[in-house]
Amino acid sequence: MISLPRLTLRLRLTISIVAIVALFTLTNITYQVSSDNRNLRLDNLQNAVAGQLATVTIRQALENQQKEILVLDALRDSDKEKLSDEEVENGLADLIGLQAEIRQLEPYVFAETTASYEQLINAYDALHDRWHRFYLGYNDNQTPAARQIETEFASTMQALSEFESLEILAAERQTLDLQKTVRFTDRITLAIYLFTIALTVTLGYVLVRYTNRSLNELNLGTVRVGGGDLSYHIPVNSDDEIGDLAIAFNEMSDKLSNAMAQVQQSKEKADQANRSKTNFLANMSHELRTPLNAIIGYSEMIIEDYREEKTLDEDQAIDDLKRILSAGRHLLQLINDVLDLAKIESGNMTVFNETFDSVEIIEELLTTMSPIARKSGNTLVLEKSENIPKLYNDAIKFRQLILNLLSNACKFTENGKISVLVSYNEKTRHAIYHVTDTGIGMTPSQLNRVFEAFVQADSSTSKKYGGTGLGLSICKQFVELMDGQMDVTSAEGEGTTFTILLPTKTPKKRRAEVIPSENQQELGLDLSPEVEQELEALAESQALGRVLVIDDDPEARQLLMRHLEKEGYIGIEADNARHGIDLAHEQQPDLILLDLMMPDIDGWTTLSVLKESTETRHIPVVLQSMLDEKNLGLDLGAAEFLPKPVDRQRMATVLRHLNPQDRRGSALLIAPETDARQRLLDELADEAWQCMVATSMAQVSERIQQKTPDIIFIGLGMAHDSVVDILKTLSSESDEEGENDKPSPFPVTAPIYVISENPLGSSESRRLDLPADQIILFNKDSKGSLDKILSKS
Amino acid sequence: MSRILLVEDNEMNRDMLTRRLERKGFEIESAGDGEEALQKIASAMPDLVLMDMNLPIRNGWSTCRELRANPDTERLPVIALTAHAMAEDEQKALAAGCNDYTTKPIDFPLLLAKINKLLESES
Repeated sequence: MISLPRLTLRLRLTISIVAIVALFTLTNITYQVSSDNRNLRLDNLQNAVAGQLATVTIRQALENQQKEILVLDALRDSDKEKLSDEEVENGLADLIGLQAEIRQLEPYVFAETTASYEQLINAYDALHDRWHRFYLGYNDNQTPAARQIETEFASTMQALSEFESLEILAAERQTLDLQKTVRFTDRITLAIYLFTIALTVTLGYVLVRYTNRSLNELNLGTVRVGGGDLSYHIPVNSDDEIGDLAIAFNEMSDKLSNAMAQVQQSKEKADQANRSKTNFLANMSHELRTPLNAIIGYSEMIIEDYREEKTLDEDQAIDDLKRILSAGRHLLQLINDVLDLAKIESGNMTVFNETFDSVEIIEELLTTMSPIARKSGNTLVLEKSENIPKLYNDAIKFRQLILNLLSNACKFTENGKISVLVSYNEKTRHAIYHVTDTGIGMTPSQLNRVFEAFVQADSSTSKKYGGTGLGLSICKQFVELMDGQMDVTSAEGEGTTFTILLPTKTPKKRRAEVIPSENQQELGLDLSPEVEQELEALAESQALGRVLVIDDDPEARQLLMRHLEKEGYIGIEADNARHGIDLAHEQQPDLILLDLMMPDIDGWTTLSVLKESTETRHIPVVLQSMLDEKNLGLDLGAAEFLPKPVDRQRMATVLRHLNPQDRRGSALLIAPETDARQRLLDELADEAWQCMVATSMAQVSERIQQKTPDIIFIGLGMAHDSVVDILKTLSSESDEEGENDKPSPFPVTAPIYVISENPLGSSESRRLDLPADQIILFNKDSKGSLDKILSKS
Repeated sequence: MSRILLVEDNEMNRDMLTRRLERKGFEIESAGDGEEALQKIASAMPDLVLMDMNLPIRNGWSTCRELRANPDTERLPVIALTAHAMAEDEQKALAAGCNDYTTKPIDFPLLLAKINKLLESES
C-alpha cells in the first residue's frame, strides 16, 4: 500500500494553482506552435506566388532575348552587319543577368518542383551556351545554327512552363495545408481553453464547498459546545488543517468536559459535606438539648418542691439529683466527643507516636472492663497469635479505640461472649484486631451508616443503651489518623465484628497538624498526587528542629512559619528583637531566622546581642534582608544569609546544612563559595553532618567559638598559602592570651583534612606538613573519597 | 381536671414533665413512641397531647398528621416539643398539624401558659 502524502488544504490549493498555471502554459505553447506553423505555411504560399511571378518575368526576358537573337541573326544574314565590341559585351551581360534571374528562382523551389527546376537550369544552361557562342562568334560568322538555338530555346521554355505549372500546384497545396493547420490549432486552443475553464470551476467549487462544509461543521461545533453541549464532537472528515482544528477542538471540549465533571463532582461533594454539616449541627442541637432539658427541668422541680413544701423527700430528691448528674455527665461526654470530632475535622488532632505493646494495653482494658461485662453476663476472651510486633503509634488513641469498641460490645450484648482476636499479617506488616460480640447485631442499612456521626440503630437504642452516637465515628477517624483501616461486619441478632488494621512498619514521624484533613474530610476531595508526594516527603523528613523566627512583618513571619512547618520544623515566632532575644534564651532553639530591618532594635544589634551572650552564641543565626548583606553578616557572626523574599527551597537547603538535630557531628568547612564546596556541603548534609562554613581566618575563629567542630575541612579553591597559614593557626597555641576576653579556641583537637580538587605536587604536600591520609582528592571522579573519613569520625 | 397525653421517648424527660404537670393538677398519661400514642388516644381520648417530635417507630410529625386525618382526633390540641434549634423544625411541626410548639429545654411557665390557652379555647 502506498502511503499518500497528507492532502492538506494548503497542498490542495497549491495543486489547484499549479494545475491552472500548467494549463495556461500549455495553451500558450499551443498557440505559439500553431502560430509558427501558420507563419511557415504562409511564407511558403508567398514563396509559391512569388515563384510564379518570377517565372512570368523570366519567360518574358527569355522571349525578348530570343527575339533579339533572331533579329541579330536576320540582320547579319541580310546586311552583313557587324556587332561592335560594346554590343557584344551588352549581349553577354544580358545573358548573365538572365542566368542570375533564373538562379534567383531557387528560394521558391519546393520539394515537388526541385526536379523541374533542375531541368530548367540544365535547359537554360544549354541555351545560354548557344547564345553565348552566338554573340562571340557573331562577327566571325561562326554562330550556332539558328535552328539549334530555336530547339534549345523551345526546350527551355518547355521546362519553364513545366516549372511554372508545378509551382502553381505547390501553391495550391500550401494553401490547403495552411487551412488545415489553422483549423487544427483553432480546435486545440478551444479545447484547452474550455478544459481550463471547466477545471478551474470544478476545483473552485470543490474547494469552496468542502471548506465551507468543514467550517460550517466547526461553527456548529463551537456553537453547540459554547452552548453547553460538551459531549458534542465535530466529525473529523479530513486529514488536513481543518481536520486538525476539529481534532484539537474536540480534545479541548473533552478536557473542558472532564474539568466540568470534576468541578461538578467537587461541588456535589462540597454540597454533600455541607448537608452533612447542617445535619450534624441539627443533630448536635438535639442531642445537647435533651440532657439540658432534664437538667433544667429537674432543677426547677426541686426548687419548686422546696419552695412549696419547705422540705424535701430525701429519696426523691437524691433520685432527681442523680438524674441531673447523669444528664450532666452525658452532656460532658457529648461535648468531649464533639470536640474530638471537630479537632479531627479541622486537622488539629495531634498524633503522639511512641512504641508500645498493643497486646499489653488490650489485656489491661479487658481487666478494666470485666466488672461491666460480668454485670450483663458477658464473658471476655483474648486470643492472640505469637510474635505480635510492637506498634509505633499513638498509644492513648489506641487505648481509647479499643475501650470504645469493648464498651460498645458490652452495651449491645447480654449473656454473650466478647472476644478480642489479635493477629499479624507479615506480608502487609499490619497488626489486625478483631473485636467480636454475640450481641444484637445490625441490619445491613444500619451497618451502612454505623460510622456516621449521631447515628445509632435508632433513638430507642440510645434510650436503652445510652451513648452519644459519636463513638464509632470518632473511632474510625482515629484509625485513619493512625494510618490504619477500620471495618465492620454484622448480622442482625447474631453479633458484630469490628476489625482494625494498624501498620507495624518502620514508623514515619508525622505530625497531625500538617494533615490537611480540612480539605480531605470536609470536602471529601481526593488529594492530588503532588500533594500526596509532598506529604509523603514531609512524613519522611525526620529532621525536626526548632527554629526561632524574629521578624516584625506578620506576613513574612507567617510565610516563614508555613515554610518551616512544611519542611518539618517547629517554628517559634517573635515579632520584635527584644522578644526574640528573650525567646532565644528561654527556648534555646536550634536555629534563628533573623530579619535585619526591624524598628527599635534592628537585626544587626540583635545579632551582636545573640553572639555576645554565652547562652545563645552557639545558635546559628540566618540573616534575612532585601539587600545583599551577606559578607558583613558572615563577618559579624551570622551562619548564613538568605535574601528576601525567601525562597523555600533555598531556605530548606540552608536549614538542612545548619540544623543540628540528629546530626552525627559538626563539620567546619573553610573554603570560598564554589560549586565544589556546595557539593561537599551536600554530601556532608546527606551524611547527617551539621555544617559550618568559613571563608576567612576571622570567620574560622568565630565559628569555632560558636561550636567546636568534630572535623575540619580546608581547601577547595583556596590559595595554597592561605591553607598553610590557616593550618598553622589552627594547630598553634594562642600567644595573645588576655588581650581578648574570649578564651582562645586554638589549638583545635578536631581532625583536619585538606581537600583539593586536583592532585597536589610534592612540594605543595611537603609545605602542608600533614600525613598523606589527611590530604583528600575531592572531585566528580572521586566519589566516596570521604566515606572512610566520615565513618571513622 | 384535664387529661394530658405526654408522648416522649426520653425516660428522664418523661418522668420530669409528668411529675411537674401532675403537680399543676393535670392528669398525665404517657407514651414512649408515636404508635403507642395513637393506641392510647384511640382507647381514651385526652384533652391535649404534648408530643416530642423525634420519636422511635413513628415520629411526631407523622403521628400528628395521622391524628389530623382522623375525624375523631381532628381537633385534638397538640403541642410539639422539639429539641431542634432550627426554625424549620417548628414550621414542620405546625405544618404537620400541631397547634403550637415549645423548644427544649422547656420553659415550664411558658409551656403551662400554652397548655392553658389551648384548653380554654377548646372549652
